[in-house]
Amino acid sequence: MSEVTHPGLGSRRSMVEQLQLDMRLLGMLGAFALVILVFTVATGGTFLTPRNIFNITIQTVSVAIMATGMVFVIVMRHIDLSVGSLLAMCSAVMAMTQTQWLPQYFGLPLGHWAIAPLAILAGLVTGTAIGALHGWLAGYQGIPSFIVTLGGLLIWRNVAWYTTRGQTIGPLDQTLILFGGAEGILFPTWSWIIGIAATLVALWAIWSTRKRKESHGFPVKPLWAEAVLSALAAGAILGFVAILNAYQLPPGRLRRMFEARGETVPEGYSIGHGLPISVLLLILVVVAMTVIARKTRFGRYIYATGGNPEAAALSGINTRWLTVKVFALMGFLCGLSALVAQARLQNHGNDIGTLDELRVIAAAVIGGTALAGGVGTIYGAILGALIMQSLQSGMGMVGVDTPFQNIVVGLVLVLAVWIDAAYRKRLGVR
Amino acid sequence: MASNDGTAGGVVAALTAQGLQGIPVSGQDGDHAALNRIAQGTQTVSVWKDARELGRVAGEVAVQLAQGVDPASIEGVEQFTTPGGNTVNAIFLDPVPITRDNLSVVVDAGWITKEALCQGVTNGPAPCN
Amino acid sequence: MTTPLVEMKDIRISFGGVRAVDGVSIDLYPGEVVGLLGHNGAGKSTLIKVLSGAYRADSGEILIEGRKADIRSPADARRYNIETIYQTLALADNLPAPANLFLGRELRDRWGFLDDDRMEAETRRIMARLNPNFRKIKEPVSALSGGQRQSVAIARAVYFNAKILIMDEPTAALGVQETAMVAELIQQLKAQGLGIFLIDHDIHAVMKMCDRAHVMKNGQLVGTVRIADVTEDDLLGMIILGKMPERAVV
Repeated sequence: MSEVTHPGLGSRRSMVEQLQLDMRLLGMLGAFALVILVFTVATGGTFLTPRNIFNITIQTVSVAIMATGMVFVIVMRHIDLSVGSLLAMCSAVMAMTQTQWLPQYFGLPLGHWAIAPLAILAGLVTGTAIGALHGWLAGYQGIPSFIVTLGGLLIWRNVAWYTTRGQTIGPLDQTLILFGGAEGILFPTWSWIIGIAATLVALWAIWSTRKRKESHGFPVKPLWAEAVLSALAAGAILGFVAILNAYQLPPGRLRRMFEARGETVPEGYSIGHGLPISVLLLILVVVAMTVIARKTRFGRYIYATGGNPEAAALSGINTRWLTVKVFALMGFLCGLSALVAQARLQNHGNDIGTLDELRVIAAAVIGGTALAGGVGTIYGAILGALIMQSLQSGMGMVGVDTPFQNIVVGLVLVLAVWIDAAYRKRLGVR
Repeated sequence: MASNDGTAGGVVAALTAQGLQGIPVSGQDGDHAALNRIAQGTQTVSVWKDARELGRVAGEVAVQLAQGVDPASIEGVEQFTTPGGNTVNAIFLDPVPITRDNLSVVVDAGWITKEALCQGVTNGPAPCN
Repeated sequence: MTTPLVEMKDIRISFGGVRAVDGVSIDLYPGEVVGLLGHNGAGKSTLIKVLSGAYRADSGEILIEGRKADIRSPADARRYNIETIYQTLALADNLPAPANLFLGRELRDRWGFLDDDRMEAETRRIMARLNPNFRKIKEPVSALSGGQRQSVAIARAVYFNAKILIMDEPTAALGVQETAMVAELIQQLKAQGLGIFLIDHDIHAVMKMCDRAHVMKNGQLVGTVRIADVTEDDLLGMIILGKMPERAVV
């Protein structure tokens, strides 16, 4: 049975319906726009400068990477309170590997090219293994994940403490520091190349989806709607690149760059930052996690199990093993975040990632992930993380006291869930 | 002026990203990473209070107090008036400001090895030269 | 005589010392609807979950078309073309009909990614046959009525060529019209040669739809009767008193 709506017909439907945009996505975008508007006015425009946008972006990366994993965890009706501590643990292993273990026990001199990849690998393996352990305890041993990861919160931060003997570890490997944000940037030319490539991929995805739907005889959006969506996608990607390119390197940084090459800065020379490597990493994570969520069995089973664990098990899904995989993935992402966090701070400190579990959970929840399970999107979590970081950063710029900043973030969290609950109730959705 | 070396490390990272090295940054605690930054020239000073000395004196005082020695008569005790106006007995140890000019002090005291202090430093201040 | 589609022999299963099923043997032939009757807690759901792979029996054996079958999980049961439609409507409420219909057996494209378009097309095709009024293909099944949800569950069984269908109170959540629709569907599947186990409390429905009935009480089999040979009162007597009607022993 196929009902084909012809483009141009059905004009009584509203524009939003024709674009088939998610109402919740629109709501979140609206909230984000409001935050930006308020702080732009309050700071007299400083909030929207390329420099501040650049800073907010790189400050968001670490929490945002973990938030994508937290979406899967919460969709599965679990929770992970240990991500901040796990980040510290992975960071400690990475820091010790690069500054002490590899140089001392494996004879690799500091600055050797293999140090960064090996240290990163060590951190990622640590995170994945600990995550899998959490998943095994929750999935196979039946310990509530709240308890497993509450224990993990205490355990891993302090294992990390012992690993570094409580010391701040640094300086870190120079290659590794490139993943932190401001130090590792792609400059305008490569940023444009990547931006244009991403735009082409996005356009191709939109149009090939349309073609496929047509070949099955499914209803498709009107042509103008596809065109509007394509334009929005292209505009968003290229606009973002343009903003990051517009943020010029400070003179002092330019001088340092040229001095490192034994040159002096030419008169009137200036160059933009472009995409930070950490942001590129986040974008890759978001794309990969979205594909997992929507296009793989692994993702489908996560959502099915969250929606009805019994039904999933009766359909032959091994929900225990699935739990292990989801927590292992969460651990892997903690390792990745640890890389970005320590590179940004250029040191491993004892308190790295403190309270990140709350920021990560809040980002996922503000982004529309339901604690009851079964519902949540990756892009929502990213928006949630951006909204929180913008709030925090904006209030800092306006000069709001730190305690009050936390009060506001807490209020926003509760408000977001409240609005979401009211919205669902009105639609009659569970 | 950062309240400790951990915070000072964050400040230095942020300043470096803005190309603003050369701005004086102070920290406290004599963290190994902070001493290394001083050798590299990105941090100006760290206030070093040798925890080993602090622990030794505190231990000695505790033993004497336990033996019933009058607090005011313990060797080195001075009267200190707190900002709140109370007068307390106190023993003052000398904090040492560590700058690029006296880095050898921490190495000689066995607080940090020369390798850790001078990691990534070429042609730096003594002893990293 | 033809080989039975299913024979469960001397099945025993206990939970923490309680004998839920205690040495029960039942069978099912092709093109036959067999009722499984008994009070709540009589053990019929437990027994049937052994066949569908949700539980494992402590002892006893299962023969499928005369051959010994090794069923340890729902996936194993599916390999023997056993499909189950649960009383609780085992659907993931947050997913739309196609995702539910193909849950655990998703169609994939040549890259190994989910082929949602093909799954949607197949769902539209089979629903057009089973329930032409079904339209909410894209919405989460939580937005569907009980009958629509049941038709998704039945479509799942039919699509994957079930030979043995287990239905656990398939009409419990349905209105009159929807019940009639499901009853008709059962007759249709029976005509195609499927064997159907029907677990139901509704004696009326059993009398109308079934060919034979196994009656259980306290984890044991009271007996097996041909529906044509008994009255409703006879069945009630078996269920409540555990007493076989004198004239109807098979």
